[in-house]
Amino acid sequence: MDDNQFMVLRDVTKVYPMGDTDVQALRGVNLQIRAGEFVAILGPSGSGKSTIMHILGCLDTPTSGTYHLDGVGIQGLDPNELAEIRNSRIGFVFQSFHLLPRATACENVELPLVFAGVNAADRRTMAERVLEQVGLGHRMRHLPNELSGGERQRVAIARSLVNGPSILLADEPTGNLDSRSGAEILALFEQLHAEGRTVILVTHDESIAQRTQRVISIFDGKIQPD
Amino acid sequence: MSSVSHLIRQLKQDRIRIALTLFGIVWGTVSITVLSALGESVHRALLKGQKGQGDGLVRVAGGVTSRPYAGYPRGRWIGFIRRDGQLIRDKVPEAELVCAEFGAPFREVAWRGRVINVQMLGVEPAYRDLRSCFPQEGGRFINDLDMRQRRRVAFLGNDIKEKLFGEASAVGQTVRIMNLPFTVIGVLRPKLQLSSYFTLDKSAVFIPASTFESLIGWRHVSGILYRPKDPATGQKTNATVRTLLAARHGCDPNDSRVWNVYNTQELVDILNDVGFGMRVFMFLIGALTLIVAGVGVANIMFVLVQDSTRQIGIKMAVGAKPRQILRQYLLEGFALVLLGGVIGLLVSWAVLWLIRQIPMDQEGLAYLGRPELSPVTALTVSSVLALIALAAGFFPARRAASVDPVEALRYE
Ligand SMILES: Nc1ncnc2c1ncn2[C@@H]1O[C@H](COP(=O)(O)OP(=O)(O)OP(=O)(O)O)[C@@H](O)[C@H]1O
Ligand SMILES: [Mg+2]
Repeated sequence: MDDNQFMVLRDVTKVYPMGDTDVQALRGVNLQIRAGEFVAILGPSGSGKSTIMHILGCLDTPTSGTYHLDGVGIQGLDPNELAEIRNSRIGFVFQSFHLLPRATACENVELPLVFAGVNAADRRTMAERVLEQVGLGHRMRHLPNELSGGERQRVAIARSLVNGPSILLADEPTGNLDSRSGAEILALFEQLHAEGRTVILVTHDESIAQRTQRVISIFDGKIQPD
Repeated sequence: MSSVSHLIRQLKQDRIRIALTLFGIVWGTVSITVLSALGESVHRALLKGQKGQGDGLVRVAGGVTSRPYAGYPRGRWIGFIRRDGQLIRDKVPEAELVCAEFGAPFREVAWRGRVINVQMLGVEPAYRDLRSCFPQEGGRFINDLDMRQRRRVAFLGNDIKEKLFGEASAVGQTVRIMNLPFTVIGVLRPKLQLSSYFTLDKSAVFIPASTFESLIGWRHVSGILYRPKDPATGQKTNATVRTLLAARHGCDPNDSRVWNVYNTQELVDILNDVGFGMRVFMFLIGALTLIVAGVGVANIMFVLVQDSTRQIGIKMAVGAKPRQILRQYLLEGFALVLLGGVIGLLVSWAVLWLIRQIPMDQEGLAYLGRPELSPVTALTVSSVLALIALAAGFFPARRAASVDPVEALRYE
């Protein structure tokens, strides 16, 4: 498989029906991302960054156009098959962490493994290992509201890593953090990229985008030429 | 996080709501179970009461011919005599416990100045087994020797004994019937009897048919009782008896006006229909209660799904298949209903146990019988519960599975 064709969006549009009018979130996006790239998707609020990321992560499907992930066209897949891909190949990190509030750090990290059918003992071991990896070995039994923002985002990152996916998608991962925790999280993404993962970082902050290898600018649902 | 531990977490969170729902299921289960069990036991008590009159008993009495036969005009009165009973005994081996019966004029029965007016029956020894007229401890029923010697002996219904003797012992005492001394040989053991054509056995006094004959001077018996040995061929036995008696008395065996047949098997059939109808009715009432409770469970499940839309979105984002979400909520609904059902069955068992502790000596209560949690009831209730559990879990689960993760994660 040609590296150039790892993630390929062709003429992708996304339309949200809103009462009488439709919202055009994406207006014909063409985009190719190679395996192992470290990419920033940069654009102002409402430009369609998150929408692109959801499509790249198989969380959403295009209204028209095609998306091929590693040679497989995802438009023909049903929701169960998409879930399978998300579970095994993709890790998500969100601005607002999206942790289960009543589950401990460790249980949150175990979540993807539950749906992969891993048994409880193995889940525990694997979750603890990634939590150590992101520097939270001492916070395993804490609930999200007992953790700082930076720590919560590390839990979320650990969760996105636990299934060993090759793609990490992060939507404003530092948006809710102070600059110091933000810097730590960015360093973590740099390290994860260095380990060979494809990392895609959604941001509206140019200085953050500059830390990646490649910046894709988007405005009003369209990719801007470099 | 397994589905069960998730459920436990939700339980802690929504304690009151879930407790109320559980209560609904428990209540529904108890009502369907107890009502079904009561229906069953009332039915059983009714049958037993019917059997108190005699199990599968047939009684033929004479009547007036309604059509001419062999040169005789219509309107002839045909009456049977004790010899007819003997004839059936000899010629129809398919009939057992054949017994002629005279009854039942009111006669004065007196003991030590206490006088009551009682219906008196003249019967043969087979009457005891035919009608379950068993004597209390220390007594006996009329026997063959009484018959042959036309003894002046009396067997008292338990109500009569009570009225005459109170607590005192009656057996061996001499009562006066029509001013003649009769020795009391036994007192009826109390039994549940629902119906009769003269009076209930407990309020009658029985003397040997032979004694009755010579004392009162009736030629014709009031009826001849017997029981077909095999209930399955009972109709055929009855026809044989009819043909035999018709030949002897010169009338048409198919002249229905002659044959005043009283057949308890037919009453039992009716009681069975009534009992069945009652049980279905009780079951439906219980099932309705349970369905209402099931709607409650579905409702709370919808609320749970509503409240955890974001969590469902998170789970889907990390790779939960809609199918897995569906299964999780289905299981939760099922677990909830099942928990309620198990508690409900236990409570029902206890309630039925309590009902069985009520002393049943009162007439009305006797028809309650002894309700029990029969395997059939338990099984039906469990199936209904399982159905309701599936239905109550399915619709909320389907909604959970159709959550759009992007939408669910958009808002804080
Ligand atoms: N479910 C939806 N229904 C209607 N409109 C939507 C929906 N989701 C997104 N939009 C619209 O689509 C456009 C792109 O949204 P998107 O979330 O991709 O923007 P974004 O670049 O991520 O913005 P932000 O930086 O604020 O997160 C916006 O105008 C948004 O209002
Ligand atoms: Mg966004």
